Amino acid sequence: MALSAIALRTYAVNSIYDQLPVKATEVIYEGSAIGMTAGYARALVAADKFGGFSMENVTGTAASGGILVTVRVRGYISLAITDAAVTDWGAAVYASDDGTFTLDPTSNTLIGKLVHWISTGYGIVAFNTAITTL
Amino acid sequence: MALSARTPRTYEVDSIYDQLPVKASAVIYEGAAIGMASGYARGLIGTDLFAGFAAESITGTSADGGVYVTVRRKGYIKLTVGVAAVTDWGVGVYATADGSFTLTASTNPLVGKIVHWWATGIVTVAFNSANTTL
Repeated sequence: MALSAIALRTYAVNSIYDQLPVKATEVIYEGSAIGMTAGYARALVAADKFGGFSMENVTGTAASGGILVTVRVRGYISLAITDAAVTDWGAAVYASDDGTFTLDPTSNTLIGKLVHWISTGYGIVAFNTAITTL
Repeated sequence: MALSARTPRTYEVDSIYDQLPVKASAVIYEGAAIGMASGYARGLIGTDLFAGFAAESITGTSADGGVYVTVRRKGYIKLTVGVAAVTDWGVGVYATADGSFTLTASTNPLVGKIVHWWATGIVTVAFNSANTTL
């Protein structure tokens, strides 16, 4: 509805962390790429929406949302990326599961982009879930 | 490979600066828009990927990657941009060279967007190389 008076808003702290509800019985390891499926977090499965990287080990309860997982939602992370070469600076990086990263977009999940090449197959990836899921 | 145990990751400090390998013989001046060509930095040319602004002057050695240039990869910068008008708030800003900026996309790399208009052709541009090349 269009405003007809002041509307005091609630702004969230601009944190690099968030806590997301975990899908029922899902096993998530620290360092796992997080996938979001129907609003719940799990170890990423290709084509999920990217929810960040897990900061802890968590196992989901019998019901979805019974527990929360702390995730890092943006930053720069060192990753092994299949075949990444110096010429791939700026390339989009995708996850095919919670621990596998690739430059191949096919059916995979966009997580960020290569902003610093370290050596063949290794680089720094800039990620920000607020952008990659837009 | 999908994770089967906790995998602590290495996160980089969320720095506004990075150091990128310089293309052979490239002459880069402080303040230059940096372009990435096959993974190496140079004064931006045409369709390069935008990587930030040089924080120092530097000249490449005879081989690619012989020296590194410090770049500012995100922030707000005051630029002269073509004929930017007050009505151009929020529009994309592109580089045609390391010191020339325009509102014309064509084949030019995206640098950022106008977030403050000062006078005709003088604006503040928000930039983040981690976003603009996605």
